[in-house]
Amino acid sequence: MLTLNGRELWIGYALVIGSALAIVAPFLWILMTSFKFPIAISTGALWFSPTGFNYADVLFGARSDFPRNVANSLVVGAVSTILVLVIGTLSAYSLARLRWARWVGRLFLGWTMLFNTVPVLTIVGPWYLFFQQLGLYNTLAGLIVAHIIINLPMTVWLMMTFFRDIPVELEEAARVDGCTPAQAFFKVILPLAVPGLIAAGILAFVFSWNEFAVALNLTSRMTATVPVGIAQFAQQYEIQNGQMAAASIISTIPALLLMFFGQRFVVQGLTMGAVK
Amino acid sequence: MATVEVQALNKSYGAFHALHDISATINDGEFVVLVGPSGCGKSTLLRCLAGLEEISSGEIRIAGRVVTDLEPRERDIAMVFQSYALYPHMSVRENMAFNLILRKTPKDKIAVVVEEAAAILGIEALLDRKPRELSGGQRQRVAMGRAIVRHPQVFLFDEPLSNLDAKLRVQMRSEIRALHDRLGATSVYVTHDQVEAMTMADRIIVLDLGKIIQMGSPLELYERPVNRFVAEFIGSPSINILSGKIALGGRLVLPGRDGDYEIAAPEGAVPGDVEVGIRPEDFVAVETGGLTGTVRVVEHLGAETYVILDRDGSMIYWRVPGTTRVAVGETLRLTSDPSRLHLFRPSDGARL
Repeated sequence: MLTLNGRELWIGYALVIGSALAIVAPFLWILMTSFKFPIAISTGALWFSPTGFNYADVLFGARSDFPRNVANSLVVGAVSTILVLVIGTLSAYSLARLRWARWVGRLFLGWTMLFNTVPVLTIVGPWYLFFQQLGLYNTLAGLIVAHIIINLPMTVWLMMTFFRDIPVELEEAARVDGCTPAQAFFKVILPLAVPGLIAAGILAFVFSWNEFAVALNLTSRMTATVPVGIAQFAQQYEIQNGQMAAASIISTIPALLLMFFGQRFVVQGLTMGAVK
Repeated sequence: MATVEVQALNKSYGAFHALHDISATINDGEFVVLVGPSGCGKSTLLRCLAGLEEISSGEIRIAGRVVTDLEPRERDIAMVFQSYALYPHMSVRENMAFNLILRKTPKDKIAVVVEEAAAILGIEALLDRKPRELSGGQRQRVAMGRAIVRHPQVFLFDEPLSNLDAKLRVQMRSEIRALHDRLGATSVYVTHDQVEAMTMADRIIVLDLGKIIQMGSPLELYERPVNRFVAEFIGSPSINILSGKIALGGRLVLPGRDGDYEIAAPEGAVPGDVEVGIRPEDFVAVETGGLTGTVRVVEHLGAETYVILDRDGSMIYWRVPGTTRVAVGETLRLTSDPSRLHLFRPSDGARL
């Protein structure tokens, strides 16, 4: 461990505080904005008398779509996360354990790489056309499908690293002990992969919750999710800064909660196998 | 319990032929040890018996029933793994009861059986712990417990002691053997440690390069190894191999710089080049004649002493009682009873 003394220590503190501020300051600014009346927002006052008006308007206002946005986001996030976990876990197990020919794994890796290098907006156009033909445009189901597709590669890779870290002997012991292959998976392997499921689930949910570009293109007013809803506060003739800030603050709550409780699983998942 | 019969078993991984025409019968109640160097196929053979590897051809029968194409769970076997493979998310009790739960055994009966097994192994106090809270030796016992609660037809052991320290290994060695006798089980045990094989087995099967080289009781293998490989593999320190010649007239000559060592060749020896195997304990010191060698190292083990002699650049191991005093630098003359010699053909190492 590096030990700092005297001036070095102060420089160290300054750097730490500086970088923390760089991350936290914008967030604090929005937090402040969310408690200001429009007049205080436009003067940029640092001292103001706080008001809950923005929150009340966003959550309970007659013309506010925000509660519906939250409901949509929850449905899309929850359903796509559950489905991506089911599909992703089973495919990851298959790729990690069953004796697939080498090209199968490589093809999958190639596809994942390609998929992650291509900007999402490139695919959104074709999706828009497809989904319109299929009748999935402007439905939550359509957005759920899109989010599953986007989240699947990451989920499969994450779960693969978890499965690879579970010794094969455990599965063999289970099979000798009387398990069918399916029982061995559900009774022995899956319980051990729970931290992985939590990590992958949190990442998938948070992604879906925050995802903007696809949601903007595949939804309209009734099916808009939270990020799309927030963007709607900036209209052509009026920008509702206060309401926008309040909605932004509210939108961070689920992600914050999830990360707070699930952080150790996520860190474990992303660094798994890095150090034996 | 049960017999295990293996007939003409072959196992290939692509072009690699891991097991060649393995045929063996393991009798009811027998403790058979599969032994051989790394990569000889002993673990593969055990995994074939367990059903964890599909075999390429041949037949396996357990208690007379053909199990070749059956799943591991249908073979009525229990296996103890090298890594123990305890289920980390289950308590010791759940680990041991897992098979019985899968078989839908009544709960009260499971409790009785698990307690019984725990008592035999001395792990009653650990039943509610998780595997990660146990020491290596305790995990080993739990793995054994998981196997014995099932009363299987056959026990399979895959190097179960190799993760334990030396002292515990010696202790568990005799415990496993005692347990085998107590349960009257049929056991197949894989190890690369010839001492384990010698001390535990009723019968040893020596494998090399995927083939059975020799089957027999520990003493048979020690006293009549079929080839140089078995002779060198069984016994510690390893057998001394010297090159020699059978001369006309039935004399065995071991040439040396300080004079040849000549003794009567074993009966029926054909003239020609031979390799002569002499066990380290089969040498006797003599005043004249014999093999000459200079003492290089003396290893005192207490009860016995290993003397390592240099004879024209090759090392000879001599095992003597701990009371014998030998000094480094001394020149000794050693001879051996002709009936204790092992002769091997130099070309392929086969016993002559």
